[in-house]
Amino acid sequence: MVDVYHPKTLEEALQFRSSTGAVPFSGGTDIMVRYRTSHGVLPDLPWPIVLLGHLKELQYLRLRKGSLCIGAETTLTDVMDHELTPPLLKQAIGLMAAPALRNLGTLAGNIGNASPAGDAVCALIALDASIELASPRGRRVVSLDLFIVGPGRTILAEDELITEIIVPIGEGHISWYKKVGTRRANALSKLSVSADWAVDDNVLTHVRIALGAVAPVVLRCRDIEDDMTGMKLPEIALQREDLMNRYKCSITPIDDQRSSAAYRKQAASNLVGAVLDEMTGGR
Amino acid sequence: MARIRAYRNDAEAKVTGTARYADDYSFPGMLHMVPVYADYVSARNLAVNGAEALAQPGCIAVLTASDVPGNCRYGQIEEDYPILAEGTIRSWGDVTALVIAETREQALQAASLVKVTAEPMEPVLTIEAALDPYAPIIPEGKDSNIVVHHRLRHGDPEAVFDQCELVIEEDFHTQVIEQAYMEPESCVCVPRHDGVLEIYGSMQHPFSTRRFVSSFLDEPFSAIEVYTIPMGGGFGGKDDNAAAVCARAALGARITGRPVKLTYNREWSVRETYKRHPYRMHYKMGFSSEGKIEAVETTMYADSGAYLSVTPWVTWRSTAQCCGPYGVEHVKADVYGVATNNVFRGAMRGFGAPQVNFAVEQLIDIGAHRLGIHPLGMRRMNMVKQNGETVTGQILDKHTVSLEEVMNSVVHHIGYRKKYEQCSRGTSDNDELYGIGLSVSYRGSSLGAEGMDYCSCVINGQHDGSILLETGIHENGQGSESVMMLILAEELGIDRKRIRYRRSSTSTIPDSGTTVATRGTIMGGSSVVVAAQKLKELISSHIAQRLKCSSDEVTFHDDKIWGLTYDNSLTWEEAMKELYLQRVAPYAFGTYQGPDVSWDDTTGQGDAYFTYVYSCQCAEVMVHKHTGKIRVTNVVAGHDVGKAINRAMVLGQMYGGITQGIGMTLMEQVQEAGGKITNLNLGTYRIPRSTDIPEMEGIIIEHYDPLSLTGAKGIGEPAIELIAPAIANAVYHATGIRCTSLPLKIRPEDLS
Ligand SMILES: Cc1cc2nc3c(=O)[nH]c(=O)nc-3n(C[C@H](O)[C@H](O)[C@H](O)COP(=O)(O)OP(=O)(O)OC[C@H]3O[C@@H](n4cnc5c(N)ncnc54)[C@H](O)[C@@H]3O)c2cc1C
Repeated sequence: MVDVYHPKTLEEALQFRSSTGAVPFSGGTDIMVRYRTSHGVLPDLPWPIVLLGHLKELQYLRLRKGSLCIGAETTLTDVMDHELTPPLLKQAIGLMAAPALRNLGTLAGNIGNASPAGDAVCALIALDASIELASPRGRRVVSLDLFIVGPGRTILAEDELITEIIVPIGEGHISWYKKVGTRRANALSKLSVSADWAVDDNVLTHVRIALGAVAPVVLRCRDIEDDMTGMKLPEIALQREDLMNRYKCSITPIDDQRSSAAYRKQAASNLVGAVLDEMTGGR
Repeated sequence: MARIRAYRNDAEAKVTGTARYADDYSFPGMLHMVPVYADYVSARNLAVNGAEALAQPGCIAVLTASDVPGNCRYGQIEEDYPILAEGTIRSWGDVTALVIAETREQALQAASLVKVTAEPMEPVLTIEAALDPYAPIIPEGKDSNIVVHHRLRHGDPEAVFDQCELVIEEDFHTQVIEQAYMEPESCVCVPRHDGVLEIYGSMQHPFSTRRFVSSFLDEPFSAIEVYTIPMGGGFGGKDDNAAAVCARAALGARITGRPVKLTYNREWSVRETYKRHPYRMHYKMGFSSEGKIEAVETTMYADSGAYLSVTPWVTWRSTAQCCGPYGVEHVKADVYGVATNNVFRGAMRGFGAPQVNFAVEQLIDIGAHRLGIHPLGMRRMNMVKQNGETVTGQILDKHTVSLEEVMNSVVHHIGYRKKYEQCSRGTSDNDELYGIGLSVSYRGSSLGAEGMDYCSCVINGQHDGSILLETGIHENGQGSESVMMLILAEELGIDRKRIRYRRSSTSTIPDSGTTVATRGTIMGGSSVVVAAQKLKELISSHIAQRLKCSSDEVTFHDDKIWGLTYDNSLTWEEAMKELYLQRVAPYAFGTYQGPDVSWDDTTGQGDAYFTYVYSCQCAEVMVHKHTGKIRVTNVVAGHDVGKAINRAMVLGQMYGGITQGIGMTLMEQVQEAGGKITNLNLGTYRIPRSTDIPEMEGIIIEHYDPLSLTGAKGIGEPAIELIAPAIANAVYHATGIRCTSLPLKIRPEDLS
C-alpha cells in the first residue's frame, strides 16, 4: 500500500510534499518502471507520492524576457510540437522513447531522474537552461548544470518541486544533435551530443557542447569551450584533431549494458569532430 | 504498396483486441501459482523450506519435486530437464519450488519467503571449459560434456586442399538469442467434473504438452485435454519449456482440486526458457582458380546449456546444411553439442541453419574477393542445380531446383550488379558508407531425417451444408488454420464461408507431431487434401444416382456438386440433406505421411530432406563513419515456396523473418555473467522496433512441389536463415571490414 496525493493546485501539491515528504510523480515513466514488481501486479513504491502530471497550471510554453519558459509538467510531446521550442530540444525529444511514452513523460521527470543519459537534459544543458524550484518557503532559479550532481542525484530540497524550465533564446544560434542508441526508438542513449553555437564574421562568438552518457552527469568542457570562443573558424578547423583529443581525454565513460567505455570515448570524440566540421564547413 | 488479398479466420478478433490468450482465461475458484528460482548456477544438496511461505495469508501450498506423482524429468530426446529441480541445480533457470495462493500478489509475496539452500559448485560456462578433460561432467550419468557429435564424410578433402588455388580458414561466432515472443508463457489448468484435466496454455505443441503433463502426473493421455487457444508467438521457443510450465500448473490443479493459473512475467520467461544455440565454427574452404569450391572441412561447437532439449536435432540440421546450398565434392564436417551450466538452448526459428549460413555465405564472398571473381558468378558456379548432388549425397531430382532463378530475380529486382559497383569500400565523401550484400540458401523442408513425419485431418461435414475442419497442426499465430481452410475450399470447390475451423484439442484429433520445422503447410495441407479426397469419394458414391451419372463422374466446383450436364447439379445443402436421408455421415479422416528420407549417422550421407526451399536475400546498408552504426536501408527477398496459398501471409512471414533476423544481426544478444542472464527484460534485451525496419520487398517464386499434395513447401524458417550474412557482406562492401561474430559491430576507430 502506498499513499497517493492528487492535489488540485500547485499550492496544494507543495503542501502535501512538505508535510508528508511525498515524492513527485509526473508522467511516471521512470518511476513506474523502476519499481515494477511482476506482470499483473502493481508497482511497489517505497514512499508516498504526489501526482503532478495533471496540473494544468504547470503546462505551458511562453516567452518571457528573451527566454522560453516551459511549465515543468508539459508533456514531451507538447514541448516537441510547440513552435517556440528550439530545434535542438525538438530533435532531442523526437529521439526519446516512442510516441506513447512522450505523451506521458515530462521535462520535469527527465530532469528529476538525473540520469547522465537523459536526452532532454543534454539538449537543455547545451542551451544553458535553468530551472525554477518552488517550495512553501518560496522560489529559486538554478542553472540546470548545477542542479544535477550525480547519477540520480540532484540538489532538490525535501520540500521542493521543479515548476519551470527556462531556456534563453539564442538569436541566430546554430545547433547540432546526435544520439546513438541500439535501435531507433525506445533505446536509451549509448551516448549523445548536443551543440549550440554562434558565429559572427567568421569568428566563433559562443559555443556549448554537451555530452550525454559519457560521465556521471551530462558533461560540458568549459575550458575547451572558452578556448574556442573568439577563435576564427579556419583556426578551429586547423585544430580539429587537437580539440577532438582534448574532448576524448576529458571524458570518463563506463562500461555498461548499453555500450563500452572504449566505444563511447571514440564515438564521442568523432561526434565532436562532426560538430567542428559543421561549424567550420570542413570535410 | 500493392493491396494483396489476405484471409485470416481470426483477423477481426486480433485486430480489435478481443482474441483471448491464456492469461485472459479465468475460472471460478481459480488459484495462482508462481515459480521459485534459486540464485545458483551449479549446486548440489538442494533443500527447500516452504514453512514461512505457507504461513503467509492466502498461501495454499508450496510444491517441490517430492510432491510429483510421476516423472519429474522430461525432454523430447532425453528425459533430463527437471520440471522441478531434485537435489541438483544445473542452471540459473532451474525451478526449485512452486507456490500456490489465492491471488497472484499473495503467491508472489509467499514465494519471496521460500528458503532455498544448496552447496554451490564451480559452474562450467564456456565450450572451452566444458571440453577440458578435467571439467566436471554436467549431464547426469554421462562421461563427457559432448552431448552429441554428428559427422559428415563426403569425398576426401584432406587430399584436395593441396591442389587448391586458394584455401581460406576462418572462425565464426554466433550469439545467444532469445525468441522474444510477445506473450510470455501462461497456462490455466482446470479439473473437469469427469476427472479430466483441461489445459489452456500458450504453447506450440498441444501433444508434447500432453506427453509432459501425463508423465509428470503419471496419468494416461486420455485424462488430459489440451486446447488450442490464441497464442502470442512462439518462434520455436514454446516447445518443451512451455509444456513444462503447463505441467507445473497441472500439478497444482491436481493437488488442490481447483483451477490453477501460472502466468510468467518476462523476467522469468527469459531466465528460465531455452535460447538459440550460440555456435563456434571453424571453416577451411578450398577453391580452384576458377572459383569452384573443391573442398570444405569444418568443425563446429554449439553450446547446449545445461539440458539436452533438441540440441541433437538442431546440430543435425547444421551438419546436413554445413556447406550452404553448394554442391561440394569433398567435405568433412564434425558438429558437436556441448553441455555447460548456462540456461539451456533449444529450438528457435531457423534451427541450426542461420549459424552455418552466417559462415558459409561470408566465406563465398571472401573467396570471390580474393580470387577476383564476381560474388554472383561464384555462387552460380557452385550452387546446387537440377539433378545435382548435395553434400549428403542426395540427388535433387524430385522437385524443381530453382536457386539460380531465385537469385536472378532478387539480383535483377534490387539492381545488385550496378549497386555492387557503387559500394563505398571504406571511403565516401560524406558521413556514411554504402554497401550491398547478398546471400543464398536452401532449406530442407519439414523434419527430414530428424524424426517421424505424419499429420491427420478430420472433415466433419454437417447436414446443412456447412463444414467443420480440423488438423493436427497447431495455430501459433502464423495463420495455419486459415491456410487449411483455404486448401479445403479449393479441394472441394466451395465457398470458404462454409468452413469453420473447430477449436481442436488433443482429445479430438490424433497426435500429428509438432508444429515446427516449417512443416505446418506442407504436412497439414497434404492431410487436408487426403481427407478432402475421401470426402468427395464418399459424397459421390451417395449422390451419383441423383446426378444421373456414375460416382467417378461427379465433380466439385463453383460451390456445387455436378453430374455430367448443367441440369444435373446439387447445392451443398441439397447434397448433404440427401446424405442425411440415407443415414450417411459426411465425415472423412485423412492422414499424410512424409515421403521417405534416409540418413547414415556414421557418414552423414543420405536423402536428408524430401524437398528444399530455395532462397536469396539481398540487403543494402549505411554505416555511419563517426559511430560505426549500421543501418539496413533496403532488403529484397526471394523464396521458392512451392505454391503460395495465402499470399499476404507468405509475405508476412518473409518480412517478419527478415526483421527478426536483423535483430540477430545488429542488436540482440543474451548477456550471461557467470551463467546468470543480465538482460532479463525487453528494455535491456533490445529487439527491432517498427522504426528499425528497412524497406522490404518479397518475391514469391512458385514451382509446384510434386511431393507436397498442395504443391506448397513453406516459408517460416527460410525467411530468417540468411539475412545475417547478407548484411555482413553488405557491411564488408561498405567498410572493407569483415565481421565474423554476431551481432555485427563496427568500431569507429577502424573507419578512416
Ligand atoms: C521504454 C522507455 C524508453 C525511454 N526512453 C528514453 C529516452 O530515449 N531518453 C530519455 O532521456 N529517457 C527515456 N526514458 C525515461 C523517461 O521516459 C524520461 O526520463 C521521462 O522524461 C521521465 O518523465 P516522467 O514525467 O515520466 O517522470 P517520472 O517517472 O514521473 O519521474 C522521474 C523522476 O523525476 C522526479 N520528478 C518528476 N516530476 C518532478 C517535479 N515536478 N519536480 C521534481 N522532481 C520531479 C520523480 O520524483 C522521479 O525521480 C524512457 C523510459 C522508458 C520506460
